Amino acid sequence: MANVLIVKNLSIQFRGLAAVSGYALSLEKGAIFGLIGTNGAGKTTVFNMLTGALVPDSGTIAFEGKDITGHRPDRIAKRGIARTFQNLRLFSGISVLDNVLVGAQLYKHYGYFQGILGLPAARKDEAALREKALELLEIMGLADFASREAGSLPYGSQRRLEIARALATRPKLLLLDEPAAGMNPKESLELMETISRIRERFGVTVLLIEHDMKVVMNLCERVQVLCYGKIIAEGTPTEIKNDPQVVEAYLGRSVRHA
Amino acid sequence: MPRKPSATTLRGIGGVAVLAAALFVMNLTLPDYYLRIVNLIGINIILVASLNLTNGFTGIFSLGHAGFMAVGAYTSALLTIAPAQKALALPQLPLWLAGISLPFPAALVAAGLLASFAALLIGFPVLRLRGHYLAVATMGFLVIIRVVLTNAESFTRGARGISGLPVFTNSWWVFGIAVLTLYLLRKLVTSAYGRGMIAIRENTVAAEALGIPIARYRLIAFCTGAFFAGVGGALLGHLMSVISPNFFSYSQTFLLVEISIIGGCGSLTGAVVGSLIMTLLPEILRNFEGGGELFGIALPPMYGLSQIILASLLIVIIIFRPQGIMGTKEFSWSMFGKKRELKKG
Ligand SMILES: Nc1ncnc2c1ncn2[C@@H]1O[C@H](COP(=O)(O)OP(=O)(O)O)[C@@H](O)[C@H]1O
Ligand SMILES: [Mg+2]
Repeated sequence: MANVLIVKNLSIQFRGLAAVSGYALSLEKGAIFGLIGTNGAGKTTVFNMLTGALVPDSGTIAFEGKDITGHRPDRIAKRGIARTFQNLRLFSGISVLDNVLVGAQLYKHYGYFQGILGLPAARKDEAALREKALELLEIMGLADFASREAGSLPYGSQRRLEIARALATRPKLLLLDEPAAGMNPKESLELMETISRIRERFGVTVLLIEHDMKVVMNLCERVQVLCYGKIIAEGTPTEIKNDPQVVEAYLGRSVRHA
Repeated sequence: MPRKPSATTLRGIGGVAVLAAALFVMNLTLPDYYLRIVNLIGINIILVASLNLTNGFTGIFSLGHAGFMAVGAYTSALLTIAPAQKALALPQLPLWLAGISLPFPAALVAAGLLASFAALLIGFPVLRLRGHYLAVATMGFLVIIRVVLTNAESFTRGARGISGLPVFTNSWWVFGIAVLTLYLLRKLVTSAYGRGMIAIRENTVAAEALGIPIARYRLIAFCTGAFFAGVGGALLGHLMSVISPNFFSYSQTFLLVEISIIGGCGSLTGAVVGSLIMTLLPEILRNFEGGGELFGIALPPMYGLSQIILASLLIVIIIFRPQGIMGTKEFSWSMFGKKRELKKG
């Protein structure tokens, strides 16, 4: 199977501190891949580099065979990588539907003048975008909230909205940064099902940062463990669970929570 | 569903008809002094609505609006003043410009376009800045405009300013353009472009991660706002018939920012509400400054009262309603039916 993403030797420092060093990753198309590690291990920093929010000091990122290292975030999004944020970054003052529409607007077909003049082409296109967005809200179980202000949603729903918004860009690779954080067990179980369904339905590859070991074990086919910016293990969830180095560095402490 | 837009359109047409009737009556009955105030309300609506596009919707806190007004006003002046008059007042004008005399609408469009072009030039370096830095940089643009206007004497007569602009501006032009401005800006902010701008305001990092080209959208907002500022500046020039560099300075910019904040900078309705209040109130208050009688009580003269009251109003609003009167809400006909809807939910 083809690799969607190939990352080699990715490193970045913050004021001399190596946040991530020598990071590598090969993602198979259609995989659900887990990235775990303690707080401050560098997981979010990896996402930031993959999406162009941070420019790595060294290393290469190839997406669908093309180098995207250091490209602008909007260009990378356009190529097909979407993400959610660990600390939610919704457009909280506008409606739930509008949040998703912002993600969908990569697929608008009308120009500035058609928009400002309110020409039929723009109206028709908007109607189509709206329909697609509502469909996504339906899939994410947010249809009832469509006209609510995004910031007023319950926390779990805000997390779902971030995923809906990311999906609206029709990504080939979806990066989820702790999507189950702050959710109760029932919510996080539902979320797992949703993520599986998303993969089936959209054929999207998923890279997932998660603390909840139950989520990781159930959902991911392969897992990578990051510790102080370095990969210390990679394998199937079962292999990871039994890796002595991982148990010592990470699982030993968090297994109790899981 | 398909009927809804036509109802909105009908209401819109009804609203315009009412406005036209009101203007007709006012033109017949109001003395010139009051008509001028009515016109100023309309011009302020154009200026503040366009300022809100950048400052409120996109989150670019620009203080350069008066500069774009100046570009528009001077452009329109040079394009409309009769060649004979130019020969006397501006003898050094290049030939192609000296001989030109455009009709008002063409000059207004040119005013907007040139202001937009100025926005494009300064937008490239300036719009990458954030927050206070951006505000300061746009103020720098005001300074540059002023210096250019003062020194390009063969075009502008320098600090003396240009007088004798044809008085084309009347309430039909003003409110026709104000309605058009609000219509176009409304279409823009509810389009994908406007949503992108609002997304940038709400969370720049997320907007960029979703594929919005931040710099491009900011520039679009900036140039669009500048276009209407240029038109508004030209309308103002052809209302007063005299323009000078002094007129388009900080105080003009700050007046607009003040109206924008009081009305609610994230709303086009806010621009209308703010312009109404902030244009009328000073005039009303000014009547009491000289003293007089109110409800049988004799008032002493209190010069400066109107300014103190307006400044206090600004402070009170900033403290108790920092989002302004309208916040990010727009007027809509469903406002009145909202209670029913809430009960249902
Ligand atoms: N933009 C930044 N500037 C400076 N330091 C940062 C920045 N982003 C992350 N860091 C630091 O890099 C390390 C890794 O952070 P992060 O990637 O957020 O960890 P994780 O997501 O695994 O919890 C932390 O020590 C964090 O403080
Ligand atoms: Mg993190």
